Amino acid sequence: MAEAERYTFAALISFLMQCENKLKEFYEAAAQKTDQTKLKSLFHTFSEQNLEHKGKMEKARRETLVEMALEPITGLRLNDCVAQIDAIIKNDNMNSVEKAVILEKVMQKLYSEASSKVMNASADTGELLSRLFQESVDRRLMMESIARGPL
Amino acid sequence: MTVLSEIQSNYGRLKLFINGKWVSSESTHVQAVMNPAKDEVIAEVPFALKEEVYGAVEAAQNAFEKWRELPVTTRVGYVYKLKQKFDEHFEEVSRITSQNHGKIIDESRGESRRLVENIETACAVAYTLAKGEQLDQIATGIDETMVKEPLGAFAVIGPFNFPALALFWFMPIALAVGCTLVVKPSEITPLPLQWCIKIIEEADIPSGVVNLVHGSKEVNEALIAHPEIKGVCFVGSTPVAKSIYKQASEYGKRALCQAGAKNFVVVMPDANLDRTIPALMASFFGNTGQRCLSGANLVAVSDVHEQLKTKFAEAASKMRLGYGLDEATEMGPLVSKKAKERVLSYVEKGIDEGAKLILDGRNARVPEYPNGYFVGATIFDDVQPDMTIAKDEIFGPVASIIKAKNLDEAIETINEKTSYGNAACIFTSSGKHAREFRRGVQAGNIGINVGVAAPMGFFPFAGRRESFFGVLHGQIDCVDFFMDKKVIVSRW
Repeated sequence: MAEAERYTFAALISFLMQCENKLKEFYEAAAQKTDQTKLKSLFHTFSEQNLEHKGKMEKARRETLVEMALEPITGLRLNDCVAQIDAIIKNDNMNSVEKAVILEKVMQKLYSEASSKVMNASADTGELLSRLFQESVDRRLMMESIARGPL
Repeated sequence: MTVLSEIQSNYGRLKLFINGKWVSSESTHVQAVMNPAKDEVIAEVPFALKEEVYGAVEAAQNAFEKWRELPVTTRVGYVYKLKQKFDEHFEEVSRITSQNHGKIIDESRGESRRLVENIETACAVAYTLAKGEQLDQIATGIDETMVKEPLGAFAVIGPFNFPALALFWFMPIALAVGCTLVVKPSEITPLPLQWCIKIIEEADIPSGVVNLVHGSKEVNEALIAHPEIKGVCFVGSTPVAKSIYKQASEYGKRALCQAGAKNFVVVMPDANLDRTIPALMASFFGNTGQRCLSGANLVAVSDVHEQLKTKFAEAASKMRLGYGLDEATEMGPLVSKKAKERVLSYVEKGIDEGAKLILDGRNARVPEYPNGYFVGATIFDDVQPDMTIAKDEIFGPVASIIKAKNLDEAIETINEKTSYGNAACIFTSSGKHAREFRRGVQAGNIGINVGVAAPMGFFPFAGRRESFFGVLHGQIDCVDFFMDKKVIVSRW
């Protein structure tokens, strides 16, 4: 088993922002590809949301740290996560909606785990990640319902 | 991983800020300001001349007459605007702190967050703790009233390790209650406060209310000696704190001096080690051990010793050293070459005295920053409480493990083997042990399952024995430091 990864708070948030950026680019490209108006609009909205998430994380990363609780963050496998996201985006055997479902699942897991890890260092960031987890659940459900039938 | 950009690569020769204007010092005594990760000069700091210091004090005194007359709501409005401006410039102050001091960006941002929290606290106390009181009918037809009044111009002298925050334990409250200031940052890390003064200027705080001078001992002495300075707030080492307290006393002035430390962290056999170890990393190696709340002596009680030692050393050995602006860095360099030499000399002393070096950080290297003042996490085991490394404030990433048979022995060691009393922490799952500890130890800031017992701005920054000289502490406590009471007995 590989050695557990260790992160500073700033490094962890940078990783999450990187993931958000990958999803933003994915949804932008997906919106370009589809001819279905409603789906196009939904992908655009998701892409804009990903950009907003980055902004919120950037602010939380800068301004909400409790300096007395800056402990190393362990137990997350962020490199695996990023690799998973890249692999899903590059997979030619799935359509955009199928990819979105799996991507949101990856993000849900990531936010759920990261949220509890940062709660001591920054409760604001912990709360933000919990909200993003919920948002990701909603997006996945939307995508699953689209996958089941026409929009 | 991202290495954040520096706000400026060089800040030139620093200026003084007197009566609302940036002025060049006439002094020929100049010191280089360094980036400790790179061993690179990033500014020059002039040591102000006596007449320049006096000019700053006179500006503060002149401004006081008008500042104190402003309605409290107006003064708080200025302080609130200062908070807004700090929010806007938050990242700049944080990055400059990492660049000049060396601490990692999370630590700098945490420091800036606490700085803003002190400004917020000041806005609140101006409407609450600065109020007086009244009791009617203390005798027939006679009422008695107490009002609090701001005293005048104060000096605030800061340390190198929290180059902006430590001065903001005092500055916002002084301003909110109507006092004016001459502030002097450490000559080693003057850049963060210099930047803060620019923010104060942007907040339109009237000329002369806050003045900045640079320098060292001579400047401190000139400030304290000036008749218009009503008192001095100081944060720094114990020898300097003692000396400043003594000087201020000789002039009959108020002094609030937060001093050095040698903090003990006790780990009980019932502690949850998985939760304790990360907290110990932050306590012993956060800020590269250069903080007055750092853990220094790790007391392993009874049979927890072996397991604690192994896990502590294992976690510490993985700490990534580097430039504070690299987000992946877990521990930055020491603040100066001199500080590094001092820490290394203590490691030698520990070896000479017979302590067992189980993790040696002396040869730590960071390839990208080969000239930085880095020392890796260093741990001694089998340390006896009478050894120099267990008694002196090393102010670096050096931990000494001391064994104790039981909690009573641990408390006795803390109270009898060190003259400091800044902080003491315990890790335990027993409420009984925690209570005995907090009641028994002679330290001002107590951590229970917390390794850095840092009081928030709305609590006093406590400290006892050789760690504090004065009566009222920093942060919220200093409302009464900056004010005096007047009692009015009236009959109409």
